[in-house]
Amino acid sequence: MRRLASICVPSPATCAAMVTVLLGITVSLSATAAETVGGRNAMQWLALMDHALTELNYDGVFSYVHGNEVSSLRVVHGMLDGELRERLIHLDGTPREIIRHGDQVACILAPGDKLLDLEDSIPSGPFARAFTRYSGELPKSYRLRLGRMGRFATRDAVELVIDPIDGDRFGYRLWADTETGLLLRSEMMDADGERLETFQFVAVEIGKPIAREDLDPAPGPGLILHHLTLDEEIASPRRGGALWTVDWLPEGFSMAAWDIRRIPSSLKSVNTLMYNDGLAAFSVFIEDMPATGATDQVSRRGGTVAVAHPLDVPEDHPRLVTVVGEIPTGTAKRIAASVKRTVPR
Amino acid sequence: MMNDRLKESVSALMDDEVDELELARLLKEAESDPAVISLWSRYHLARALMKRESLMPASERLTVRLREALAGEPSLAGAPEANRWLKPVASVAVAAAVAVAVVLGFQMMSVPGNEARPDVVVSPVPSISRGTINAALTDRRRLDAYMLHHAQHRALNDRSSVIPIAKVASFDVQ
Repeated sequence: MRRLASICVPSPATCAAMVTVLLGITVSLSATAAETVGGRNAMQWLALMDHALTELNYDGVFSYVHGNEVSSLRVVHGMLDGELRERLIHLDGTPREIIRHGDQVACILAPGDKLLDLEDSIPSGPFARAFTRYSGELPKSYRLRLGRMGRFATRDAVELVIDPIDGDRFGYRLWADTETGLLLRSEMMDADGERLETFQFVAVEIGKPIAREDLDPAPGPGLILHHLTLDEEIASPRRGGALWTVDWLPEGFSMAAWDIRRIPSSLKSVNTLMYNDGLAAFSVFIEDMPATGATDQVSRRGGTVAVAHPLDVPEDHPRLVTVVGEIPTGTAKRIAASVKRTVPR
Repeated sequence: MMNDRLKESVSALMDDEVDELELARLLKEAESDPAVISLWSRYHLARALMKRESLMPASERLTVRLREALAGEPSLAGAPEANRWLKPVASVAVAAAVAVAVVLGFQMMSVPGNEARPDVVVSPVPSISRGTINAALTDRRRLDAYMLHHAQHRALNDRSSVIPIAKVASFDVQ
């Protein structure tokens, strides 16, 4: 527990909440989950997997398939000087590295990376802390059971099946390394059993010491360092409540944080509401209707959908609502259409 | 090959803690050994990460410090050409330290195949004007931007899985 505590910055409560978020998925242990593999039931495997992902040293290459896209990444993960360190290297396409240093995350980008242009058009500043919401209560939106045995990256694995209880969220298949519990493969699937996203280690070394050089970013000419930070102030949810809310919320979801931010390039402010069911999450962005207008739009990348919806506000100017999350398109549309003000102007 | 002493010197230079003798040696080494430049660059990146440094491009910061250090020396102030710093080791220690840094900085710009690029540009969190995409933002672009924002938020908040962070790293921009 000492090591785990050292990576959790604010408090043991947050720490517990973090674990709970992962364990939250497990919720209702159905009768079939009484079966065990290697002396562990599904719930125990999930707990081990959670522990392994943060606590173990590993260095491997994985494929990430989302929609029609395939990306290859290398991940180096370990504890160094009592701090959680992680380095993610994008192996194809645009060269990118993401470095996690305890609570800090920095993207290292090559000049001309279009990600930077996109950055200009989204709200800037530190991100809200949103993982403290679930301490104490377990969402009942998924069922967990053990599945079949498998083999990935030359290692034997046990399958954990996570089924949603309704059509407002996706299901997951996770494969844990039987020896260490490390997640070797994960799939996100829709109600029809169609795979939306797959993560899978191609090769991985587990439990070996990690060299400092392997965790440091590779220097190169013209690199751009972009920090992502969490805001200590934006707790969940803020006192006083948000200006906007959703009238229809799928069961099991609750607000984790809300925020008002400016877009640097236009100085327009954007209200952001963040919701979570312990596994899936969605964000709702509310901004003034752009001068150029906007229509209903849907865009999907693997398991993530973005839905834009023009909103007429009684006795006020129209707004544009955008819902983004790992949820079905119909669910996102229904949420977008239900956005309303909490405080009349 | 770089010895430990040289590593220490580069590290000391980062902290403005080198004497003139060391400076002269570093300058000489930097001319012949590209590893010095690469080490300088690595130290900078590591320090920026550690300190969450995010204010000014490294090269710019050095130029500013150089200007401050050399205030009142008009013959040097307006001429930040790399070659001019290589020969005369400046008389004032602090100015010299900055000068070496600038030389290293400029030499990094001429690493083969990468002319005219600064070494490490540290961007501020609210990124300064990088192209203007304000009102002309297309619907598609806006959706992409919000998807990225959502992915980044998840990556920061979910420390127990590499998947959220992988989404950011592999975020494909059309």
